[in-house]
Amino acid sequence: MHLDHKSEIPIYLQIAREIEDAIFIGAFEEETQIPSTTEISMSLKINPATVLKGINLLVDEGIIYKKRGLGMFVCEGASTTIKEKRQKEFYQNYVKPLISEAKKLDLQLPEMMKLLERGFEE
Amino acid sequence: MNRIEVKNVNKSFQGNPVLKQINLTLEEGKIYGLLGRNGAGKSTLLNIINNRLFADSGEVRINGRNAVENDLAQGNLYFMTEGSTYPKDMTVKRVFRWTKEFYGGFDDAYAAYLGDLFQLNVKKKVGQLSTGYSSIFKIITALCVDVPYVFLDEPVLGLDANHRDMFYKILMESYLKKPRTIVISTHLIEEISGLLEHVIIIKDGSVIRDQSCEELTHSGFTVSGKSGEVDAFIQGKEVLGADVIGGLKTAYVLGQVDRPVGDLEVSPLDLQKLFIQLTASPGGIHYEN
Amino acid sequence: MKIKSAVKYQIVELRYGLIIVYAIIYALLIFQIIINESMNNISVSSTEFSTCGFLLIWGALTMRVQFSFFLQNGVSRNTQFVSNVANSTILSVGMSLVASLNVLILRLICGQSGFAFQKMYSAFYPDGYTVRTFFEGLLWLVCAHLFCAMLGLFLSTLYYRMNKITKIIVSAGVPALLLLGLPLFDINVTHGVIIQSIGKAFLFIMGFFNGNCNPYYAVVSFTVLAMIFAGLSYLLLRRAIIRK
Repeated sequence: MHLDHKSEIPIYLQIAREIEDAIFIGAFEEETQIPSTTEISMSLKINPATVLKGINLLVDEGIIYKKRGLGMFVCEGASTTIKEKRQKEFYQNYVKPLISEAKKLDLQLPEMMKLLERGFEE
Repeated sequence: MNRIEVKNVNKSFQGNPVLKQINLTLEEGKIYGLLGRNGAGKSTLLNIINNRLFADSGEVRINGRNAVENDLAQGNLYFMTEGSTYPKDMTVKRVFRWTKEFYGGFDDAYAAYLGDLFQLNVKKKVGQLSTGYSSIFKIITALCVDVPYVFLDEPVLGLDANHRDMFYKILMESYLKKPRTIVISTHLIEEISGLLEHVIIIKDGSVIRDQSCEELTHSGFTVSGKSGEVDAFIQGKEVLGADVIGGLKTAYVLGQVDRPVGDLEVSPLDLQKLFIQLTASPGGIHYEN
Repeated sequence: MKIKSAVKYQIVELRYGLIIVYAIIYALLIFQIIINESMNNISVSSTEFSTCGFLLIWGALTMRVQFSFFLQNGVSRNTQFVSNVANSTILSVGMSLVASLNVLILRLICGQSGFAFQKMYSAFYPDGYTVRTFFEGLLWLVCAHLFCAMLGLFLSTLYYRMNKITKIIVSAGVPALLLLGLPLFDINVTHGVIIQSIGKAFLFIMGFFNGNCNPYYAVVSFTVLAMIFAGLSYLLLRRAIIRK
């Protein structure tokens, strides 16, 4: 896991996203345990309160859950939950910045469509 | 009521006020960053809390008890200072032994583990250690004492990058094993910001910020671009400072981005940048030949 | 409790100093005994005052060596003071006992008294060395040791609190005043009256007057002076801060 201290994204959010990524690509399988707050805090050198905030965010989104006395586990169906969430965020996170940059470069819609087609073919 | 309360503390040295009406609370179990430029008053404040210096007025209470000349209250604190307070011919081993004697609790096993980790020769005399190893031995002592409030003044002085990295890791490890209040005063803000839960900034003897690290790191932003556009954007906003190169301007602004950015570039104002802007002396750098 | 630890620390850290002092003392004693045996009846001098000097030096080194160490370990200045006094008392009693016992041993081996105390107050002990001499001598020694320790402590704290300029003024000025200024003034202006008075006063507080003598005067003087120096040390220690 890697953090960017200079990013405008808060650390706790970055941690949540990194864990989410790992779950999404299958590195953490459903119903298996993820690293503890302690482990994450120590290896990333981040205050545990901050790590906990990120973990709690994922709990709220139904991606992970806490098993008393054992630790944090990946929810069943987490991958689906994440996919749906990211599909909703796709427009905001990727399309809008893309359009903004395109406008700066005077790229019009037809040209953009051609680029998208090219992207899907490759 | 487990906390340290500093109430209306004032301190002057030879007529110069160094601390002015300082009010703060240090709660149990949190990691604090105490930031300030050289001469801002950080060390003076730490010295007053730890009964090394006397405040001119005001009071300090540790878990409700008056801190001044009070063994019982001071028994809850350990202060790792920049300078040397141990006899030069005392070995590190004996320092650990006496610390255990005076504080009643000292994790010998953890001290041995840390000593090995940093490759510290505990048979060496305190006066023979290099600056780096002097810091290391003091860090180890501070982390192995069983007290609820630990103060570290410039802990990474003289430590190379590897040792600093190790320090941050073991600091987390120790804190997780035994959650307690740790107050770190340092100039290396970038490196430490992730570890802090709460930040206190002192400027010219006054507390100018006393907030959670997260609130502070997202209390502002930088905006850069063409000077004219930047000026328009920052209208009515609280601007901490600005840098200008030719027609390009970078402004450091408090608050949130609440209007369209257009062609301007917006980036975060991380803790170190915020600190620099908050504590900068007036006037820029102008060299005229 | 911090005070127990403080006293323990002070005594443990003295171990080398004590060993050296007593090694020297006993070496001298044995040397004298041997000389006495071989040459018969050379007056054996006692060493009971050397430990007074040891305590004076110990007191004088206290602040420089221990002050920051104690503060680092959370020992308040008040506790430090109590520990210093406790230690001084323990050492004074212990060392005086050893010195008095040494005299006894000398008497047994060499058959004569090498007891400076008895010689000084010989008029008070017409019956020579008795049980009373032993105990009164012991008391006198304890108070003398305590006085030296407290004087050393006072000097230590005084110098620690003074800044550089004051130190120079005091270190040079006080001796100059006492050893040059006073005698010069006395010889030329008051014609020896001051120095004579000082001499008489000194003898008086030590218990020597009008051809008579009484060691209890010295006991009281030593005790009072010890208390005064202790009090002054405390006042100076109260606001002391660590020097860089």
